Amino acid sequence: MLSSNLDQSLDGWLFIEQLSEKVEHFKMFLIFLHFHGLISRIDQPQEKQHFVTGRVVLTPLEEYLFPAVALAKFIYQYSQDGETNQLKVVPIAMGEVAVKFGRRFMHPASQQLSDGDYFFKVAASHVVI
Amino acid sequence: MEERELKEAPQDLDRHTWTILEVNAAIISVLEGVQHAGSQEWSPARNDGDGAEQNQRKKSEQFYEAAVKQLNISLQFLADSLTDETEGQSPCTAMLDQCSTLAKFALSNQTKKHLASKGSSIISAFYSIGQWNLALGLAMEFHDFHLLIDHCHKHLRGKERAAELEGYKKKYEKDDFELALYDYYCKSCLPALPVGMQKFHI
Repeated sequence: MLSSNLDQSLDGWLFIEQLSEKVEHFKMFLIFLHFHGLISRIDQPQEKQHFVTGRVVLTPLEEYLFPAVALAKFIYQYSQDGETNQLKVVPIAMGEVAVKFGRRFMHPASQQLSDGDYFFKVAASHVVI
Repeated sequence: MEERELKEAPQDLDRHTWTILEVNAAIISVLEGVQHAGSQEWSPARNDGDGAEQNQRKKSEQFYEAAVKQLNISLQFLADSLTDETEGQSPCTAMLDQCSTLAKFALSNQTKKHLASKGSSIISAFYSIGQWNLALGLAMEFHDFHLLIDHCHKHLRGKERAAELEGYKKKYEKDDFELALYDYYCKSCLPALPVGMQKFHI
C-alpha cells in the first residue's frame, strides 16, 4: 500500500513545494500579527487553548517546520549528485519512520502518498510526533 | 537506525565512514533549520520582553540527545581511525568539521558555570585524539578551564606557562578562572601552591 521507495517521491519534489508553502503561510500569519500589533496578545493564555499561550503553540511549530524544510533540501541536494554521493542511510531511516506514520494517519483516499510525503507531513506538524 | 546500519557494516570502512558522514550531515541540516527559524524577525521564539518564557520553554531534548549520541559515535570513529596518515584526508577532515559543529551545539546547551567547574568530556575527547587547537578553541569559547590549565601544565614550561596562565586569568577575570586554577592544584595534589595562590588557601 505504502510506497517504500523514497526516490519515487523525490522525482516530483511535491513535499518540498508543500513545505515551502506551509512556511510562507506561517510567515504571512505572523507578519499579519506584527503588522496589526496583535503579536503581544499571543502571550495571553486562553481558556479555549487549555490556558496555553499562543507563543507556546507557535514556537514549536516553527521549530518543526524549518528543520523539515532544511532536511528536505538536504536530501534534494544529494539526490542531484552522481551515484557516488547518493544518500544511503537517511532515506531508509525516513522510510521506516514513514511506515509507522502511514499506519497511524493513512486515509483511504490518500493511497498515492509516498514515504517522503508521510514523513514530512508529520515532521512539519506539532500535533503528534 | 544509524547504530543498526553501523553494526551491519563493521568491516566495510568506506561504508562505515560514509554512514557516519551522512547521518552527521542530516543532523547538521536539521540544526541549521532550527537556528534559521529563531533568527527571523517575525519569529514567535523572539520575545521582546524579558525572555523568561523563552528560556523556560522545554528544548527539544530528543534532538539534543540524538545529536550528542551521533557526536560520540563520530568521535569514537575518529579515535579509532585518525592517524598521521589519514589526518589530512578528506573524510577525516570533513568529519572533524562536522564534529566541531555538533560539539558547539551540544556545548551551547550546557551552562558555562557547569563547564568551568566540571569540564567537558566532549572537549576532552577532541584533545585526546590529538586535535589540540580545536579542543583549546572550544575550551576557550565554552570556558572549560580544567582543560586549559591541564594543557598549560602538561605541555608548557616555566615562563611560557606562567604567561599563558596569566593571560587566561586576565581574560576570564569575571568568570572565576582563578577558582578553577585553585581547584586544579588541590585535585592534582601539587606539593605547594604556586605564588599568588596562597590567598585562596583557607
